[in-house]
Amino acid sequence: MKTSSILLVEDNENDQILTERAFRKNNLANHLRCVSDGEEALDYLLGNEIHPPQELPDLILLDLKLPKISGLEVLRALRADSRTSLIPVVVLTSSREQEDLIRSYSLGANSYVRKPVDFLEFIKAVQQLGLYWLVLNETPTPPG
Amino acid sequence: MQFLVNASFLLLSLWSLVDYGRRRGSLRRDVALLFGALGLLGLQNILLQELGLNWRGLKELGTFTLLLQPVLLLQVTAHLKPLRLGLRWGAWVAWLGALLSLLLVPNPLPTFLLLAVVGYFITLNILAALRFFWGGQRAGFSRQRLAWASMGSILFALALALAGTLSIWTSAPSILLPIAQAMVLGSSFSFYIAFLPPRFLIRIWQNQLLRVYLLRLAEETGPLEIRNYWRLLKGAFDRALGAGRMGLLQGSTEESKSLVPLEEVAGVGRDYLLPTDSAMRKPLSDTMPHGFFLEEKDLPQGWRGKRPVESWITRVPLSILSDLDRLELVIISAEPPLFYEDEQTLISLLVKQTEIGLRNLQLVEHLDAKSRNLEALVQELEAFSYSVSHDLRTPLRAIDGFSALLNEDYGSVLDAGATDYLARIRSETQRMGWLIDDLLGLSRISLQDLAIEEVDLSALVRELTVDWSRQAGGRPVNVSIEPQLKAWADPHLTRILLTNLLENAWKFSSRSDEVRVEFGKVPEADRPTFFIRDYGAGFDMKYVTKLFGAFQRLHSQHEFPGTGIGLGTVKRIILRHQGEVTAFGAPAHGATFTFSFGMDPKKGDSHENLQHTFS
Repeated sequence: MKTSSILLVEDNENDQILTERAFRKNNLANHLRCVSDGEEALDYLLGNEIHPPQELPDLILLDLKLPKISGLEVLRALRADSRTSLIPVVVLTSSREQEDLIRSYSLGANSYVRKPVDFLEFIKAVQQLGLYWLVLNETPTPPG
Repeated sequence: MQFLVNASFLLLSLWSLVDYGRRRGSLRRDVALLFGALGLLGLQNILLQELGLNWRGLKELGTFTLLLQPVLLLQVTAHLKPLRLGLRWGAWVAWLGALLSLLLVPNPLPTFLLLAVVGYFITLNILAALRFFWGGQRAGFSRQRLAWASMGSILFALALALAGTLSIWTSAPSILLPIAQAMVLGSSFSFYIAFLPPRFLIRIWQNQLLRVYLLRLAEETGPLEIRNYWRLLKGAFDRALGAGRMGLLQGSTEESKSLVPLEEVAGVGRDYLLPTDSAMRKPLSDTMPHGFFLEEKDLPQGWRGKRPVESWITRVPLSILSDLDRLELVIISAEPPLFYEDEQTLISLLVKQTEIGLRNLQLVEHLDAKSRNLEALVQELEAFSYSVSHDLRTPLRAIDGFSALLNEDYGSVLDAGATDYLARIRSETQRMGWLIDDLLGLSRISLQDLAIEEVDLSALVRELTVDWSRQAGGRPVNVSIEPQLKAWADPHLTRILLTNLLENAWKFSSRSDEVRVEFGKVPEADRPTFFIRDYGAGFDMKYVTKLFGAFQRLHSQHEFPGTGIGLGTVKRIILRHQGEVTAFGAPAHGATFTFSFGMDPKKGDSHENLQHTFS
């Protein structure tokens, strides 16, 4: 199995810990990076005046409710940029409001997963998610 | 025939006297004088010809009163159009001349004198007819009535011309006399319509006018504005009474009195005055202690008319605005009161209609404000439930997650009691997660718009119960579904409704030997009513009122798990469909839920209808 890198965009520290744990439990945590708000996520992926962009991840896990720049805005910015437009983005969030689902998909999210309250369920979800997006799924090489 | 003519004049005079007796006024006085003269003539003729009495001076009296007719008729027209002094005197001189020639010159009169007397009648009657006609060129009912007056004068003139011809032309055909008599009869009828119209005729005219007014009100397509009401009301009064000016008189004392021209009354209700409920319901008559008509001196300066004829003022309390001491609609009309005193009813009707319109206006404003508030409230609620959906679950996940990690990482150093506590924490946390989800579901049902279509309930029930046999774990499953049951409802909400009811039935049958559920239609219900019956645990009817409240549970979590929101959701969905839901049951004998939808396929959501009505 090739080592893949994942970027987790999540502001809640507890959720970061738990998500990391769930990934570790499924042996997927090799390259899990965490950023804790939308601005940081965009700086990481697209760079800013000071820092060039980091190495692009194979999968982005995006929370919707983020400080500064919301998850949906991050998604819009990523899809608008040719470097990141093809990276799979999985929305990983608390709600299953229809509005969130519709807006996420229309902005180009590849998947929408609701974090269950039950931690064991969450571990199962992460396992399936990792298996699908990092192992089964094929992603095109970004242009340029 | 002759008797009919005489009797009609007599009746006319009596009726006009009664009318004058009821409502004094200079015009009524003059009308009574005119008809009185004609009535005396009729009386004289009846006494002379029918009863054969030949009192001294009787004939002369008849001549005298007949000769008065043109002058008195002219006097009546003076109320419509001022009579020039020369004309007035000319008429009296002519009368005197005719009288003297008839009294002094022995019978038979010389032809030229006879012609002169007939000419006097014809000239003045035609003149009066023309004056009636011109006077009636103004708007209002008076136009119709004055046209009749005009016709009466012309017929009278023609009849006299014919009578004059007959007295000169001795060998005239005998048919001419009844024709002349018929003309006089027609003239008396015309005067009757003009000056003393029967009540039913007045009602017909009023109803016609009211109809026109209401039609115009209904056709009003522009924004519902008070200005439009005033304009239409003014138009209606103008057509009815020839109203010149209209305004709202407010204040009871001389200093505070002011008259606001109607076109300057910009608002009603909140904008202008705030009527109280009781004031709105006050009947018109109660609010009118000072009578219908206003003295001109009661008007503020500047509104006092300087017209060739008197200006007649009528006032109507506007009960919709009458929480003030006195607020009256003042109508200034140039018509003589004879022509609008009769219209009191009409004035009241028009004002009442306008009041209804204005009240609707207020209601619409009120509803608008309410619905704006409601919209804001709905948005707030949506924001609230969105936030709940996102934020309330996050800490729960952390509690559950760390409890799980605690158990996993430190399970070896914890004793059985501690791991049990951890398990309980996790189970309660997860239950809270369901509760939040169910509550959100419940609130969404209230916020969602309904999309009404025909839903096949039987098919839906079949779909929702198709897996039951597999899930029953060997127990026999018996679901009977009455086919082809359909209802007009929101399909999405109906699915939630049936899911909840069926899950309920399933859940409470979980301890029975057999799962037996029936779906069907209640026979002989007022409107299509359906039922879902199970033969499970049932419930005590004592608690039936608690059944549909959110979070109300009749069984312990241990017996039958659940959040207690399911039936609350059912109730909410049925309420949104304006239907009814009821429950019947007995412990250990199962439960029956009946429900109906109040949706009409043609009307859809009544809330939207309401909006449509007002938009």
